[in-house]
Amino acid sequence: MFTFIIRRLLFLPVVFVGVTLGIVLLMQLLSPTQRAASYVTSPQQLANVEAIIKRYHLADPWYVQYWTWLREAAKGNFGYSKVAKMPVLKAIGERFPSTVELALAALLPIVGVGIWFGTAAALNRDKLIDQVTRVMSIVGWSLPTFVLGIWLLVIFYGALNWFTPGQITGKHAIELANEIANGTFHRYTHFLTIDSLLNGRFDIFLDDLKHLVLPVITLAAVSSAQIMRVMRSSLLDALGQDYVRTARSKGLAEVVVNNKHARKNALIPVLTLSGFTIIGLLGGVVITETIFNYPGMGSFIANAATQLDYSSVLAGAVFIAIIVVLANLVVDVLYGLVDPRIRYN
Amino acid sequence: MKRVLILVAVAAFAMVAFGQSAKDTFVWQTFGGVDTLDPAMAYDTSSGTILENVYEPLMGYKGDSASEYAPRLATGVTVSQDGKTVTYTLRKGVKFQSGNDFTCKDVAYTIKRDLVTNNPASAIWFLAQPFTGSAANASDALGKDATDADYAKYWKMIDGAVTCPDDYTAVMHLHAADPAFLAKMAFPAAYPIDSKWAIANGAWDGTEATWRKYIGQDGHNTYLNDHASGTGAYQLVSWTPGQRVVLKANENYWGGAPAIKNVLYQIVDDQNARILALKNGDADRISLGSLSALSQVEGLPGVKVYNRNGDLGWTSVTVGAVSMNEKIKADNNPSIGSGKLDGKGIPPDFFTDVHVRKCFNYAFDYQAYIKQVLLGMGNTINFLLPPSFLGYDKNVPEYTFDLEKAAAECKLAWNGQLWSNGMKLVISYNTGNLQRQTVADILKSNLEYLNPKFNVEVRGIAWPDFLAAQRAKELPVYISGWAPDYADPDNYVTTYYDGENGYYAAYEGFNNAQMNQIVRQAATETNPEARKLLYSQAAHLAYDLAPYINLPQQRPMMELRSDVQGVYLNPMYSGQFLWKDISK
Amino acid sequence: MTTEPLLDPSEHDLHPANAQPSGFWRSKTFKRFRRNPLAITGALIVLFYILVAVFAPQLTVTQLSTFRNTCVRDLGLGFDNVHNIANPLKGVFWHAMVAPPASCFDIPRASYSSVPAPMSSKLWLGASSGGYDIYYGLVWGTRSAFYVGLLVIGFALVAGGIVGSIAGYLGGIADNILMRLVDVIFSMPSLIIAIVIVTILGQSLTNVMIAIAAVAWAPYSRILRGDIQAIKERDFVDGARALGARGPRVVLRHILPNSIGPLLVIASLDIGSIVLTAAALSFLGLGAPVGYADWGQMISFARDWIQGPPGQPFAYWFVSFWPGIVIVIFVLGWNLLGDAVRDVLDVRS
Repeated sequence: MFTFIIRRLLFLPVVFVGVTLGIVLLMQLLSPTQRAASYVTSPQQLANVEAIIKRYHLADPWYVQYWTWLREAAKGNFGYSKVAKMPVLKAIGERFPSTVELALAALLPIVGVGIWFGTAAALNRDKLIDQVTRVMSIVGWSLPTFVLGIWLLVIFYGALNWFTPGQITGKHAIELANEIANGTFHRYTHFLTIDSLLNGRFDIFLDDLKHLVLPVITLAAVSSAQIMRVMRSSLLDALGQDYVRTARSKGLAEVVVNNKHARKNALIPVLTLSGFTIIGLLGGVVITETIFNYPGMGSFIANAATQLDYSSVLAGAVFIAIIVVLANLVVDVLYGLVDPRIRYN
Repeated sequence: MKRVLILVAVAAFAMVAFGQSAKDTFVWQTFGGVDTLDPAMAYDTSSGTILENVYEPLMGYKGDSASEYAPRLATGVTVSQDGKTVTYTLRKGVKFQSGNDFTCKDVAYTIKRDLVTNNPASAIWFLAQPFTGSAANASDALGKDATDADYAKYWKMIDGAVTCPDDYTAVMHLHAADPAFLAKMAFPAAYPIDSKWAIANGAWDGTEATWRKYIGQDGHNTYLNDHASGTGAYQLVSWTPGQRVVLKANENYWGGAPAIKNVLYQIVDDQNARILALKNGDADRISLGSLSALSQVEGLPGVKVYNRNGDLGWTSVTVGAVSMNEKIKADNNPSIGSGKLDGKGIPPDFFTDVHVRKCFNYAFDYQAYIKQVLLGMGNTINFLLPPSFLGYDKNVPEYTFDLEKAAAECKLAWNGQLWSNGMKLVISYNTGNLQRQTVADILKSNLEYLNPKFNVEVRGIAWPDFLAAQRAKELPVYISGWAPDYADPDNYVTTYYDGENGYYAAYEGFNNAQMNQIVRQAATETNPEARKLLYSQAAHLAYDLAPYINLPQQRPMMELRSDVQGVYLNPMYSGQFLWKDISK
Repeated sequence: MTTEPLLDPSEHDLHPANAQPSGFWRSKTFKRFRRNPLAITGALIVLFYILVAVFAPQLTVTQLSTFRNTCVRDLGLGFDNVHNIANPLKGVFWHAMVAPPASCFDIPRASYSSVPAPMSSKLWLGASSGGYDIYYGLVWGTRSAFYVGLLVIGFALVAGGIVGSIAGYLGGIADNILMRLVDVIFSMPSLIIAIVIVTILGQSLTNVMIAIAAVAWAPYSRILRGDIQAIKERDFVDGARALGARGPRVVLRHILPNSIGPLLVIASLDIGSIVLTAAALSFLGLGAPVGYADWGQMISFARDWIQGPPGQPFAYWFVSFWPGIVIVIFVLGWNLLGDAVRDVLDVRS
C-alpha cells in the first residue's frame, strides 16, 4: 500500500509538466498580437499593442516563456489573474474553498437520496416505489445541468424570488467586508460556512446555506440518479447471492438480512461511485457554478477562458489536475480500507 | 480608530435593524470588476469609478459639464501665453486619508511616477505626450540601443516636468502646447497620490537612482494596487476583487463630510440579480448590461429610470462606426475572396472608390437600428464626435437610409463594373458583441437586397483573431467603437480622421491630405471659436468622403431607486456622478 | 449493471458486427431488446431526432419563405419557389437535404429587436432576443448536433484506434508513454480540458469539435489497447504471424476487425453525451457565433430572460422552455437506448 501511494504521488510531476507544457505549446498556435489581445480591453489601448508585446515578452520563444513560468512558479508566483484581479494563487485560494463547500453540501443529498431510493426500489422490486425510482433516475440522469439550472432559476428566482444566485446577499456582504476590515470577523478557514459559525454569525451561515440550495438541487438531480441505479442493481445482485440466502435460511429476520448482509456488500460499488462523484465535484462544476454565479473554481476557469486570461487558465487547470489526482488517491486508499478484497499491486 | 469602529458597528446594526435602504448607505451593483486601485495603472471604468471618489483632480469638472472646470485640489490655474507652462495654485490645509499633508511635492511625485512607469496597458500614454513629446515610456521611446547618457537625459526631462516654487504652487512644464492638457489632467492617473505613504509602502522613491527599475512597471502586484490614500470624500475600507469594494465617508474631507456615509460597489455579474436587488431596494443603483433589460426594470415601484425619454438631455460620448478599409491586405487574405471585381470577391482597393462608400452609407438602416436594437433610444450623428463636444456642428448633412440613392451610387462605382459583376464581401465583428453583429446583419440584408449579385457574409471572429486580423489590415469591413479618455474633440477626430496619426484612420487606409491638415490645425488651435470652425469643416469634408458609416448613438440612462437625490450625469466620470454629491 | 440473469455465454455475442444479419435479427439478444419498452422508446426518440435532422430543410420551408434568409438564395431559389424544397421531384429537395449551404445554419431573424417575441402564427415557438426564430434554430440545431456528434466520434475513433493499436500491439515503452498521456487526460475533468483548448484556439464550432475530440479519443484507445492485448494472445493471430504477416498488417487485417465491433457500439452511444458537451460549451459562449443553429446557444439566450417584466414573471418562458425540452428529450432517448444496448451486450462502459 505504501509503495502504491508513492507510485501515485510520483505521477504528480508527470501531470504537472504534461498539463502545463501542453497548454504552453498549444498557445504557440497564437501570434504575439493574439496573445496581446487579452491586455487590450478598451479601444484606447489598441495603439499600444506593440509596446504591450514587448513589455510582457509575448514574442519570446516558447521554451523561454515556459522556463520563465516554471521559474516564477517555483517561487510561488503563478502570474496575475485578470479575471480575479489578484495573483492567480490567491484567487485559487479564495475560490477553491467555495468549490469544496458546494461539493460537500451536494454530496450529502446525492448519496443520501441515491442510497435511500435505490434500497427502497430493490427491496420492493417492480412495485410502485421501484417504478418511480427508475423513472426518476432515468429522467434525472437525462437533465443537463444547464437546462435544469435555468429552469430552476426561472421558477424559484425569476418568479418566486425564494433563492438568489451568488454566494452571499449584498446586505451580508457589506457587513462582512466591514467586519473583516476591522478585525471583528476572523477568516480562520476561508470556508464561509465554517467561518461564520466560528464567529457566531448564524445569519451569514444561513444566508450561505440558502445560496447553496439551487446549485445543490441541480447537482443532486443528475448525480443521485446514477447512485440510485447502482444501489438498486447491486442490492438486487447481493440479495441473490448465496450468503444472503444462507442467512435467510438460518431464519434471521428479513430486516437484519437486508441491512447486515445484503446492504453492506451492496454499498461497496456505491462507495466507488461516490468517490468518483466527489472527484468530479472537486474538479469544479463549471456549468452549475456559472449558471448560479457561484464563485468557485469552475466559474473561475470558465470566466478566465471567455476573457482570455491565460495565466488563470494555465494555473487553474494544473491545480485541478493535481487535486483530481490526489482525490483519486485518497478515494482508492479509502476504498481499500472498506473492501479488504482489494490488493494494491 | 475607535470612533470609526463604533460608527461602523452602528452602521452595521442599522442595516440589520432597518433592512437595506439605510439613509446613509449607497449600494451600486454593477458587472465587470475593478481592475486596480493604482491610479497609474487603471484604465477601466470600474477602477475609475472608485478612484474618482477616493482621489481628486487639481481642477475637476464643474457639475455635469465636460468642458468647464472647477477648483478641487487646486484653487486656480493659469496657462502661459505659449501654452507650455501651466501653474496650479494648490489648496491649503488638505490632508490625505493617511493623515499626511497635501503639498506640491505630492503633485510632482504623482506626475513623475506616471511618466516613469508608463505601463503600455495603462492610460499614461496620453498624459506623457504633452510632457515628453512621446506616448511611450523611457525604454520604448529610447529603444534597445540607448546608452546611460540617453537615460540620464530622459530623466532630466521627467524630473523637470513639474517644479514646486513653494509648497502650494505646482508648475507644469510642457514639451509643447496642448489644448487638451486640462482635460488630460482631469483623468484619474493625474490625481495626486500621497507620496510619503506611497514611498513608505514600496512604490518608487522618487529618485534618479532607482527610476530605471520602475520603467513600464505593472502595478498589479504592488501595495498601491489594493490600497489607497487620497484626499477624496471617500476612503477605502476593503476591496474583494471580483466581488465588492466597500468605502466609507472621509469625515475629515476638506469640502465637508458627505451625506452618504457608506458605499458598497458590488460586482454582480448576473443581470437578473441586479434587477431584483434594485426592485427589492437592496441596491440603490444598478448597471444594465443590455438595453433590452429595460423592459424588466421599467415600471418597478420605487425605481426611477433617468433620461428614459431623453428628457434630461443627456447624450452619449461613445461613438461607433463601420470601417471600410481602403487598403486591404492583398496577399493571402481569406477575407477578399478572388481579390478581383468578378463577383467572387473584392479588389484590395475596393473602398478607394467614394461611390462604394456612399452606397454603403445609404444602405444602412439607421432608423431600424435605433428602433429595434436601441429600442428607440438613440440618435444619429453626422461626424464621429459626440454632439455634446466642442466642434460638433449639427448643420452638417448626414446620410439617411435610402436604397434608391444607394443603388445609384453602387451603379456609379467602378464604372458600373460593381453593379454588373457583383461582389462577395465579408463584414467582420468580434464575437460576443451583439450590437455589432446586428449592425453587420442589417447592412448585409440591405446590400443583398440592392442587387442579387451582391453576396455578403457576416463573420464573427474571436477577439484575439479580430485584433490580429485588423492590425494586419485583412478585414475589409468591420465595426469599431471609441469612448473618450479625456474631454477633448481631438481624442475622437484624430483617431478616426487623421490618416497618419489616427489609429482607426491609419488601419483602414483613409488618408486625405486636406483632412489631415484640418485635423492637425484643430488639434493645436487654442481659440475655441476657431477650433469649432475647423471641426465643422472637417465634418463637411467627412460627409463628402464618407470614410465611415456613422452608427447611431445609444442614449445614456441610469437606473436608480427614486429616493436617491442629486443624481446627474457627467460623461467624463466613470461613475457618471460623484457620490459626495448625492443623498437619500 | 444488469439485473437480469446472465445470458448463456454462447448467445452472448460481443461482436454484433460479425454476426449474420438474419441471425442477429432473430437472436435472443435482439428479442430481449425488442421486448424492453424503455429501449424501444429510446430507439424511437433517437429515430425521431435523426428524421428531424435529415428533413430539416423540409421542416422549415415555411420559415424559409417567411424570413429573408441567405440560405434560400444560396440554394438558387427565389422567394416564390421556396416550396420546391419540399418536393422530392425537384433537385433542390436533395440539394438542401444532402448538402445544404452553410448559410442555412444561420437562424433567420424575424427582427433585430433585443426583446424576445412571443409565439405567434409566424413565430411558432417564439423568437429569442435578437429576433432569432426558435423553431428554426431547434430544427437546424438538431442537424448541427448530429454533425458535431458524428464528426467528433469519427475523429475520436480514428485517433483512439491508432493510439490504442500502437500501444496494444507494440507494448513496452511506446505503450507506457501513450498510456501516461491517456492518464494525464483522465486526470482532468474533460469539460475543463475542452474549455482550455477552445480558449486558446479561439471560440468557434470547429474548435469546439476539436476540443471535444481531443478528450474523447482517450477512453477508446484504452479499450482497444486492452482488447488487442487480449486478442494478440489468441491462436489465429499467432497463425497469421507464422504465415509471415507483419506488424501493421496483423493489426489491420486480423486484430482490428475483431475488436472494432464493441468499440463502434460504445462510440455510437457516446454521440448523445458528445452533443451534450458541445451544447455545454456553447452555453458558456465558447461555441459558434450567436445566430448559428445550435442548441446550447439557444438556451444560453435564456440567461438574460429569467425574469419577465414587472408583474409577468413567466412572460419569456418560451426562451428557456423549448430549447431545454428539446435537449432533455434528446439526452433521454440516448440514455434509454444506450442503457438497453449495454444491458443486452453486457459491455462494461
